[in-house]
Amino acid sequence: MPMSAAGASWSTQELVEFLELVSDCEDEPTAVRRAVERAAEALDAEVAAFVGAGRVIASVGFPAAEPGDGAILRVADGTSKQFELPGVGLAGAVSIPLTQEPGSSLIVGRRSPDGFSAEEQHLLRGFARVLSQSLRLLRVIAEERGLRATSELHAAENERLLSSLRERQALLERLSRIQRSIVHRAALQEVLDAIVAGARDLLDTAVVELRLLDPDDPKTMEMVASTGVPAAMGRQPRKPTSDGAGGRAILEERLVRVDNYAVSPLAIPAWAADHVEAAMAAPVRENGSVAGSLVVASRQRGRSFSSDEEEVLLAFAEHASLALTDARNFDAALHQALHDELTGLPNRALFLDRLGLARVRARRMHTPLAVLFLDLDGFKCVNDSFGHAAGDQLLAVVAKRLRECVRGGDTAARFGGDEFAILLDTTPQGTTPGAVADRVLLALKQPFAVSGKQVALSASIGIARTSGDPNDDIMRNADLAMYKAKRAGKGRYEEFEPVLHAAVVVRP
Amino acid sequence: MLEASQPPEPGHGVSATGYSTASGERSRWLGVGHCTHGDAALAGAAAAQRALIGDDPRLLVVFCSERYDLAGLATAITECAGDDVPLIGCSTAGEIAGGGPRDASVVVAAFGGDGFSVATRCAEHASARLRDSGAEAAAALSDIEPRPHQVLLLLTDGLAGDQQEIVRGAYGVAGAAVPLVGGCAGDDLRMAATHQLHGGRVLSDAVVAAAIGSDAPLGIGVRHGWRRVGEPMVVTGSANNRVHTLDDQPALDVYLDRLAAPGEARAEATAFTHFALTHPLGLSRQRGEDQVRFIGEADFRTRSLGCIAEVPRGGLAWFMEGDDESVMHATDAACADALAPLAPDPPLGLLAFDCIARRGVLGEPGIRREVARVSRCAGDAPVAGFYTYGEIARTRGVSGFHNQTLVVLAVG
Repeated sequence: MPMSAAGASWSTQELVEFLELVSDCEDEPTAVRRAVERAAEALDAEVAAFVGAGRVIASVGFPAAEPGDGAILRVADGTSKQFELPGVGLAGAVSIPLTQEPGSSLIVGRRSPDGFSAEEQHLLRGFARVLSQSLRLLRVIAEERGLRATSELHAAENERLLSSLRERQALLERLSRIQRSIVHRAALQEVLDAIVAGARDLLDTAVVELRLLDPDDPKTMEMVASTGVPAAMGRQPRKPTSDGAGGRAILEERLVRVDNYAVSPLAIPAWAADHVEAAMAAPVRENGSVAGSLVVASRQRGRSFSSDEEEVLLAFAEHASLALTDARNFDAALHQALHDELTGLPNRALFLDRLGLARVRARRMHTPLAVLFLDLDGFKCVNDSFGHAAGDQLLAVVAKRLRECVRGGDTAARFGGDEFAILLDTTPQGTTPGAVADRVLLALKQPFAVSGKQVALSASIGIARTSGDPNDDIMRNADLAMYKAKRAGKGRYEEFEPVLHAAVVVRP
Repeated sequence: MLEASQPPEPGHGVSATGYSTASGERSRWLGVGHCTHGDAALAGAAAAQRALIGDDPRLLVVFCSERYDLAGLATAITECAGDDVPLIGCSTAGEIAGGGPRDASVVVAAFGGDGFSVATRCAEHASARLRDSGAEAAAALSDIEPRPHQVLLLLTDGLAGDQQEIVRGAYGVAGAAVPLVGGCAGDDLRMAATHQLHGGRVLSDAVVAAAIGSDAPLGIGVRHGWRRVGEPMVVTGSANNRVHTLDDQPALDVYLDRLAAPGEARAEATAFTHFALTHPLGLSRQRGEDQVRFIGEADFRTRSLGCIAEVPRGGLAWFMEGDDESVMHATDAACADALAPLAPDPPLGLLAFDCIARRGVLGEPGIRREVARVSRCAGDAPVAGFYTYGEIARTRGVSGFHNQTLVVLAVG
């Protein structure tokens, strides 16, 4: 199934929702049941199940009369890749093992010819990891409660569990703080710094760095957040993607653990010289594709990372992926909401917003500000003769030419149909709105190639300037001036004069 | 049977349509009767009598105004059809029949013939055990004879709590093989109490279900036709059906300000509900249309919004809007989707579960046009339905609860 940008944003949201949902559960059976249902809902799947220690703990979508446990277990142990659903037919199935829960897996089945996409499987792995962590935490809490109730003889055991509980709680609290800051749209850098600090504290490591591939040069990685990396270890902002455990994690798209660092082929000489004993790196993804890596390193003598610690690093890397994907998609969504889809120009809403800000600034700085309102002449004929597709094509070219006529600080926007507007935020010495209008008229005079034919086009432009009166409706004034230009023969511009208000202008 | 045989008074629209067919040796028919008479006994009997177009009735489905004496209405209908004919029904926010949408009326749809196998169940005290009540009602499926096509028709109390939980409970029993369809009972937008009918009983806070097995296909269409307005928001605070904060701001304030709600909707519960009808919340979903959530009420003290089903925390949400054209387009699409599995055969009849909010958008002339369009899609076959507080339709995936949509069940 092809995934659009909206689809990618979907997966981030689903993972955040899943995290929130499972973290809210107070006991294991509830967490498992809700996780199974949520997995099915998120993937629009007909069936889902959780298998633990060789038995079906929870399932959804199998009729009460025929629970389907046999089929679920066959998918769990890999002997089958599909479900035969009575009355429905074959459903493709995928089983994701919970790495920290041997013999456990999260399974979904969907009636769809395409199977599950890579992004969907990635999301399921995220679900499985979150579920695995939550289940362990809930189990520790339950055990701790039980022990406290039974006897004090188990004091040592109790203490061990309590410390484990504290660790888990610290992890969950830290992760949940990060989740919240992602959901609450904290600045991306703030979130990434929190992830680096969280990994340092919970893994008790001196060195953490988060590097991202340079989108313009994927052979290098840029440092985006770090802690405890001294100059001696080569604290360079960019380094080759092939470098060290971090580079390997990116290339192989999996967690890489290096014990006995000094003798590892993955060792970076400067790090080895700075007495790094062990390191770990996990890939970080953006919209499902690998985008960088999160690396931790310890100088503690004889240190090697445990599988529990691998899980913790993966959890932080997962959150870095969430934050990156979310920031990117939010930017994309915001851009989409404020720009015209056809031409890529700012839309009416963004234009009016910028106009409002510019007016405030103009009043404060006593600088002039002008709006050009532009309506194409003869566009309807193009649409009628060549069809809407050709009309759209022409509008896109018009937008491109308009963009070339304005400076960086100015805004050219599409208001809808064949109406455009230009905001000249400040008019420097020598440039007048009239000069910009002349440039636009000249640019539009060049013939347009539409459906293999040359088409001539012109525009009528109305210009209005700020007058110092805060109640002035500058857009309406520009509109009135534009109609004056239309009536005066089209293909020209007119400046607004207050007398225009007196004349009743009726749209043709 | 006295009331039943009494002719309805002239001037009180009584309409009836029916269609029947025989497949192999077994026959099926579906009839719909509609009566606007104000007297419960008379109206019930007249509508039932018109709906019973054949022998061997198997199921009566009743949609009626809350204004009737519901016990009297149910008694009149069961007396007309016979006590042993299963009956489910509910109160509404407007009734739909081929002749057009109405208020203060009763619509009876009768399924008959040995080509149908039907069983009904009801589950009471639903609000305290939403999921279990859905499961209990869905157990009706175990009582029908095996037929190649099945559907579970559910009528629930829309004011009982998270309706998605009821649907989850029903799905847990029905499984992927059986589509779920139906709607939440209404009370003409008073938002006080709705009623469900099971046999001759009048219930509240209940789920009633009819398991229908048929020799011929049953099709379901579900569409809403709403679109997003403005920028997305993050649901930063919610618990079950209540939305506390959007983008960390009090949800009610965000809602009123972003949509520039009129003054009366900012202070008065009824005015708010009327405004909210046409301004639902949309939740982003991976496939198909966005999921729409009907905002039923606001808490002016805590500044929160109350929806008819769960709004998960952490998700992206939009405010939604619709207009005549988009909503009508959804009508055609829902009918076409429902009829597709029956092709090339015409339907015996259509059941429509239409959200009260769509009525809000279309207005009274608009809903007359909408029902006329549904009837046109039905051809000669009858149409019965009602304006709901929430719609149920699960044909794929596990999510089966909808808001602000039109759900159409085509009976082949």
